[in-house]
Amino acid sequence: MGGLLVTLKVRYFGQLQNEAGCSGETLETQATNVAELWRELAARHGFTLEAKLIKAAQDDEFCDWEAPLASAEVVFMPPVAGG
Amino acid sequence: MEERTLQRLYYDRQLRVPGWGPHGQEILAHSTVLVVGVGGLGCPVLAALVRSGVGRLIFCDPDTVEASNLPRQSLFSVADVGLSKVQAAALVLAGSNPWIDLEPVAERVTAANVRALVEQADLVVDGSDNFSTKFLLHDACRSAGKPFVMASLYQWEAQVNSFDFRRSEPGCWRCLYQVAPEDGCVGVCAQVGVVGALAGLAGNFQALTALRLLLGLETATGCSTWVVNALDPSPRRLKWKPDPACACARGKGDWRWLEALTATSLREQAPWNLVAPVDRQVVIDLREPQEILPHEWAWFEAIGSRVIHARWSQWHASQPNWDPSTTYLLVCAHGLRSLAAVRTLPPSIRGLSLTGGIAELKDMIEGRT
Repeated sequence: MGGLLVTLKVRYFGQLQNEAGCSGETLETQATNVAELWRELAARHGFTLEAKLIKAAQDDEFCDWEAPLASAEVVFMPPVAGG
Repeated sequence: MEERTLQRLYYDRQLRVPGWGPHGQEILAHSTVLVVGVGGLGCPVLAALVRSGVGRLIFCDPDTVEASNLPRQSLFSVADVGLSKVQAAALVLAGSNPWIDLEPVAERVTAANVRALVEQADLVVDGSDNFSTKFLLHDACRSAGKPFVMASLYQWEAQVNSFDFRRSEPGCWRCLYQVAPEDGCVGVCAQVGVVGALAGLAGNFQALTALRLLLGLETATGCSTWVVNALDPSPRRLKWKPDPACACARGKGDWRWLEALTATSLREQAPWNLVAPVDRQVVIDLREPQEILPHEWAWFEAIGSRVIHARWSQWHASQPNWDPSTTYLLVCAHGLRSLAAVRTLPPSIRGLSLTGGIAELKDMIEGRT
């Protein structure tokens, strides 16, 4: 890390919401891509799900983990299976 | 009242709806829909499709009604506890619309029967509760070229997807998830909980999508997930791009993946009557404490097995001390968590998952199946 400090919104779904204790948050980060942001949040909230299970989206479109942070909001969504 | 008049009056209000009308009603009457899973999602899906006049409904579920199903599984009443879900549902549904064909199938959908089931249908609705069934149905619909409507629940959250595989353009769920997540990786309803009213919302959303697709009113959502969290009720639609390397780009008709799946499935699970005495040496119960009834362990202890409690929610953090000379039989409520757990055993350890779980064993012991 080492990019500029940017402010963005993060939205959590599924188990991530339970572990973060909120449905979303606005935060400042120096992360430059989605993977860096995830590592920062995982460390802060103690997320237990493996990153490979989680899908990340920017501007309501799923993106790669290496995608640069380019939108005002990032969504993290684990799959769910209940029926 | 004459039956013909009764039937016309029954459908009167929807016949007036633009885009539906007598022509739409005729299309529905000649349609077959397969609904997999008669649970929180399957109940509202079936109720809506039956009353809409879909001519033939095939619905599959191997389970019996449990008390914990009742807050969300709206086709069942307290008196149905212990009865076959599909049989109990068929009785209620037949009363709500006597002019359609109902085909209850008290079976789990597996690699062995999925193709025959899907090929009979014009559209498939997934109301299952595990990733393996969801991906199996998705892949089978893709190969068969059938529209597919799926949904999943988690506490206050629902995700709904639909794919119109009648059309030739690429784009499917595998473009997003190349590999299916392991069953149990994000918790099952028995462990994490689910809100009943949410199941009604998601199931009716699935039924509306199915009707739209059958009536040719609009295309499926394709590469996008409709996700709603009922604590924050503004739904989101999250999109993805078709993956040119995905099997969907090659179109329908390719079933080789299914042959491979049937041929390579190892003996990692078995129903109680096929569990050998040696497999019963040590039973590991993966359920949460509140799911376990005191007399259930006695079934295993009576045949000389030792029972260990190792809850699935803590499985990755703490596991039993494995003994390579012992065979382990992993059990849970319905055989989902135990199948996921058996796949995580160290290679030197012999383990087997009890198919259908304690629910199926209980039915067998109590002489219901």
